[in-house]
Amino acid sequence: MRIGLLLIFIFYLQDASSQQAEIDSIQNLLKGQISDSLKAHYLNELSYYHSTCDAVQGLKFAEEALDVAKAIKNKPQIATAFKRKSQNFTVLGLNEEAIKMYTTAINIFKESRDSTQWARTLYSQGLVYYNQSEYTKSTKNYRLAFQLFKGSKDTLLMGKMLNSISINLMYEANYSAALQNYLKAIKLYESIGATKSIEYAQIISNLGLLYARLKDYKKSLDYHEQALASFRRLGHKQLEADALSNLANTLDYLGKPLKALKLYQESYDLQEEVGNKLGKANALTNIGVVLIPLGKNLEAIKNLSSASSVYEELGNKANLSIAQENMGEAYLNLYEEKNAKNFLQNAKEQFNKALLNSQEAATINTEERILGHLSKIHAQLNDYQAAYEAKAKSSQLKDSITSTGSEAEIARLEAQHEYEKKETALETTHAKQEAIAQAEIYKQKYIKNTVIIGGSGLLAAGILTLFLLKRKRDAVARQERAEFDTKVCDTELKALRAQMNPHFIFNALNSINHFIDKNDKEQAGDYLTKFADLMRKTLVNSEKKEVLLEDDLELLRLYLEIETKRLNNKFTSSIEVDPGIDIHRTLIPPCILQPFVENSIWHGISQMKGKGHIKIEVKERDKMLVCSVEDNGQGRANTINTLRKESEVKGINITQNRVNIINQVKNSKGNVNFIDKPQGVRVEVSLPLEIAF
Amino acid sequence: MINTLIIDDEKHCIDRIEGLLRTCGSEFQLTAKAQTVEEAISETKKHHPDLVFLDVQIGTQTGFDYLAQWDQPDFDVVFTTAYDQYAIEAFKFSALDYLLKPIDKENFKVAINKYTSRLSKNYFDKKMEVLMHNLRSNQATKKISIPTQEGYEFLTLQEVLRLEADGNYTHIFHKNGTKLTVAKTLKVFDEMLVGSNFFRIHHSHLINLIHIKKYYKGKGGYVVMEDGASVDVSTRKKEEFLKFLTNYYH
Repeated sequence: MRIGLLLIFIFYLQDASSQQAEIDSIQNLLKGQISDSLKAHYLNELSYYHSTCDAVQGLKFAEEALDVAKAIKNKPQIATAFKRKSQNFTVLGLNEEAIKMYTTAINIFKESRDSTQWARTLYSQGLVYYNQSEYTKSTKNYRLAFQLFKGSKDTLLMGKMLNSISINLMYEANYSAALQNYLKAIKLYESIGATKSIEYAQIISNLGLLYARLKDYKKSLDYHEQALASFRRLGHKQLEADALSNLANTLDYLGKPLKALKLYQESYDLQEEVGNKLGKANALTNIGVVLIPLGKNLEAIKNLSSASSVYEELGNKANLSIAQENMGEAYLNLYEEKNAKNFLQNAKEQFNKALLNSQEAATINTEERILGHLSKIHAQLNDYQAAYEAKAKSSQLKDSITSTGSEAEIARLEAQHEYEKKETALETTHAKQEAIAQAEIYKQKYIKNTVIIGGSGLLAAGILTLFLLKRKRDAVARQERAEFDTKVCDTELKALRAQMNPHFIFNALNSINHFIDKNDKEQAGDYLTKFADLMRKTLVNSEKKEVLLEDDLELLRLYLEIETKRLNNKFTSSIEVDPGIDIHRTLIPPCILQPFVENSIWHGISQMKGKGHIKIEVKERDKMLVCSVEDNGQGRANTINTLRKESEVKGINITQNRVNIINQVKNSKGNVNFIDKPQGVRVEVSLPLEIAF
Repeated sequence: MINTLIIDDEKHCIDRIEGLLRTCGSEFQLTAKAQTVEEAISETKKHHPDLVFLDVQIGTQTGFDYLAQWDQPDFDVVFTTAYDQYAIEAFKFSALDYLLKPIDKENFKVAINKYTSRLSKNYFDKKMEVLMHNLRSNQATKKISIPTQEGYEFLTLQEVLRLEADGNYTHIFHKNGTKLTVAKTLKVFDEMLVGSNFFRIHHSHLINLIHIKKYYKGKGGYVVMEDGASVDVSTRKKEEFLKFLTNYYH
């Protein structure tokens, strides 16, 4: 697995090259006989130029400017002094202070109706919010600034605001909105003929990043290449270096690690040329990350360790932990390769360092991964206690990230689907691609198996390995594509189940409450432990895409038992399975009938007079597994029972979606049928018959 | 008189067990309660309990930390846990008794009956040894407790060649040529061994990948094990099996 590739979002440039000359000439001007307002202005300028080289000194100049400007009550200079203070605070990493000072400056500019300065300061504050990961606040600032720039018809800065808004949106995983804003910005630049500007190229570059996030690497490649060409033409070395690195990243995802390696190297050279330490370290880290899967572990370690010392110097703990984590992984590979204990110790040492740094940087994703590695290493070193603790901590962290992580993932998938919809005839080509990829994977595995099982033909195996390596590289992209598509479906299934489970849980909890109200303590206790049993089994089953029919029926039986108890034996139930169906071998998607059984109980049986009956049947018909739920309760035909109508529609929709996905994956013709009976309802779900063994 | 100690970091869990214990007759005497491992150790030294209800996760420590204090505990242990797959797996492998929270009254009674009939004392030390061994070691030397008609057998998992279903029974074939028959379905073992190097190649066969000698192609094909036994691979399992094999040897 690829971890921790460092992406560079392109936002704003800081050109610090000619500042010393400026500083000298301003200091000369200050020596002369000048008015206080000019003095304040020059001091503010000095503060600005110092912010890029000596922020502590810059802060002092801003204080001085503030004193002078306050004495003569020069509002614009007072506000500027506050702004300069913020800039220097930002450089010093004192973000909270910077935000406060910016707010003061913003208020003064706003009062004096200096809309240009007001907007620019809003933008600067927005950047600090962004650094603090407060994207909502940041976006609010940018949007207001956008309106102000619109008022003054400053198209270039309007575009820049849209770019910044999009970056925030990408961090919030709102990809479709980010795309919209980028496209809007592009239109703006095109309208004023600024397609050769740096800003335009930046947007193109960021679009490349967006498509990489959406895993559309072909598009990503196009945009990155276009951006790279622009930066080269404009002669901007720093941006060229960043673009090279982004391009390399996409190439790596496309299964072209060697090309990626070359570009990272070029990026490194350029970073060196412009003297960007962090950029150099990032390039080294990326080189290391690419080298590991190529089996060049020692070389990777060399690069990562040089990167680490730079991060240490810069105090960049987040990137440091990623570099160390990768080093740990490289050592682990070496250990597996050479089976030398000292590599295991080295790996442990790196992971431990990485752990501390990731904790200090509060990057829980990294921390969780590292703990997982550590747990395995501890176990291999027979330190069971440490292994247990690391594992427990890691799963605890995992729980806390999966909820947010899966949201981002689902958002990403949703966005991805929106684009895919536009591409016509996609489904057929996609199915074809998948089949080709599957065939390729299968073929390779097959060859590999023969090698493993066939044993010891040394020379032949050597040649075959070379052949396989080449084939493997070729198939990586296709394999990734195939695996990704499967993942789309998996995630969707999970999302659907997530929709269903809360519904299920709260209904059951409601039942328990109902029971506590009406019955004695002992019965309630029994009921509760049954419910716990049901939940436990549901949790286990819902992890799986398919379960054995016997297990799913067992779950339904438990559910029915609990509900029968709740309704004081108001209904009876039966489960009938065709003798031709082997419940120990037949597979079924978990809880597929559950929503309908729930509807039968809640809307059919509980509304009727007298005793009800629920009949569940499982039959085989034309190589399809037909599962049905039938009740003799209050049906949908009765207009009074609108609740049942709504509820059935919901259940049908969820189930129909699940069946559709299964149809897509298995190329089958399953469906959901609904039959209104004179009394009660019958629902039939037909699925492709799947046998486990 | 049976001296009982309840160890759990949550008070309401202690209360629940205390309540259940009261329904089990006056011979069960709740001697002490502890909410930390430290407390539990000192209470144990002070009162020498006969029976200990032991939670797995106790604050930042675990019930295993508590157990590691004694070379040969002279008390019986019933583990309790809410949803800790790691621990539950460990209990299943060692065939030790455990109760899931919220604790079911019936299950509690079963555990108590096992204790009073001295059933749980049988092989307790040995099961404990398996548990602690598994927690300490990696997959390669993992052990498993197998209940047999005579008592228990304790096998090193990697020395097991394969398992074969026979109705509600399972035959376990050992590397040394012996065969053990257990009154458990193959499914139970299949579920227990998920994530290890055992693979269900057929409705009736669960095999240990490290003991395969050869795989012969065919509709599903079949594998030959180290002891010469040939075992069918079901057609439907073939693809998954080959995939698993590749990943395993990758």
